[in-house]
Amino acid sequence: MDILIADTDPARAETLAARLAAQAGAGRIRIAPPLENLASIVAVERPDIVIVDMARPDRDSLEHLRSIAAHQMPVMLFIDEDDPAFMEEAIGAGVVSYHVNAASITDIKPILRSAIALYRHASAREVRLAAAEAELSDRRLIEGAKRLLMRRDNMSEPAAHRFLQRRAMERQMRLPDAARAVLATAAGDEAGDRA
Amino acid sequence: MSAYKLRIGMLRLLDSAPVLIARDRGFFAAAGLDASVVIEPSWANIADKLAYGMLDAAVMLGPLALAMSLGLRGRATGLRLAATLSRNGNAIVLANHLAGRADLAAAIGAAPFAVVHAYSNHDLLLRDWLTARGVSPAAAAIVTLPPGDMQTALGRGSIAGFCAGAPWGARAARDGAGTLVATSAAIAPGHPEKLVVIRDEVAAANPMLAAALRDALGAATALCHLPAERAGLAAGLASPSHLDLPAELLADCLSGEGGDPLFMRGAELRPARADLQWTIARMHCAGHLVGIDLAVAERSLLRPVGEDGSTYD
Repeated sequence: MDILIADTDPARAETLAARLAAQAGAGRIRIAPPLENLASIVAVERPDIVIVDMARPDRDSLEHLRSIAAHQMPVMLFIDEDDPAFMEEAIGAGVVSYHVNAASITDIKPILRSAIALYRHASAREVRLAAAEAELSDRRLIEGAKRLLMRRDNMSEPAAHRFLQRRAMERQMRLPDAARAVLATAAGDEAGDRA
Repeated sequence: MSAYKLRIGMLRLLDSAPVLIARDRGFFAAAGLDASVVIEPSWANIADKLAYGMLDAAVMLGPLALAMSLGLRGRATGLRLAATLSRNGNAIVLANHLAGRADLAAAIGAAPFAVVHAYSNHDLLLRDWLTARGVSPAAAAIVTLPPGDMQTALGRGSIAGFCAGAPWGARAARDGAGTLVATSAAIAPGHPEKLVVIRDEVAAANPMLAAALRDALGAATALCHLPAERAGLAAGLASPSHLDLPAELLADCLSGEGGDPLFMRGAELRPARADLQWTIARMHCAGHLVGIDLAVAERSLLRPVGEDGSTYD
């Protein structure tokens, strides 16, 4: 089996290549340069399977390959119709695979399964990081909106906080979203004044 | 009553702006929706996440929505058309040395054209334009690139031209990387562009969802039509957490005039059968619907309701 790995994260690509080499044994395993167009690489390299990081914006280019006359072999997104849970797991982890020729489900699945395990590990770390960042930016939004209300409407800090709470309740929004709305409206007003 | 939770997918395109505006200004909340907006890097991601239930709704390309519901791309996925969000807005840009050439077919040679997805209006509009210029679309090579990469590819000479949405065509022309030779508004005036689709199961469980989405998005598109709002909206949309594009470019493309995306307001947001027929007819010509009953294709996204069948759920 000839495998091409297209990952936005070079370190993860190396790790996956090493794991697959140990697992699949035979066959070539190559890593696609992250900045080169995926469809062009696949058209030249002609692997049997492409493992694709869903963060790549050029994944769409791969979906088009099937209609290129010069490239006779169809390139298809791998889907296991009988195992939607497996597909959900893959997409949830952020990795999919495309196959060229008639690579069979039984050949592809163990390879994709290894990739899923690796991606899930990486994405769990990212989720924790994103949650921490979101909390930070939520707090920044609330602070920003409070400062604006205090400056623009001469509110005290507790009054500004109560105003946001009331607004969030009235509009059935989270507090940070109410703060964002206050800031967005103000940004619009200011830009309007300048225009 | 608690708000209905909904995950909406979109790409970083000007056409998706009403979704971000509706969230930021609280229009979803006002329509009884607790909407989280998910920005994806590719159409393929939107399609896969809709197919496996990780998104409930999305801003979509009409041809891709049809391809999904007919099982032409990945897993066959039941979708329902909830809104026509925008019309027009795409542009065809040619390499400078090709613009104005009478012998276009010969001048192009083997150089490919780029579009944003194999199943896109961009592809269908480009085919219309090539045909009108005496170039056979069947003979032209058409490839897919992310819109953000098209200008670079044009500059490098690896493509002859591209068809992409706002603001990519305007940006390439402004930077002198290529020549804007046609807007989609000129090729097919008022053509349907971005649609909002909902997964079948989600729509079936919530009959009022499509109307609620149209209310929220309608409030956002109404703002886009106010000239006084444009600079402020563009400033908000430009941020890295939103569209991550230059504010002045976004403001320029928000006018809705000429070739700009025209956002639908109020009742205009309701999906129209004629739009779907426009898309189906062109996909059929492009050879995407071989062996498929065109009436079946139409009913896969729109189901007529009521006695005269003139309205849709």
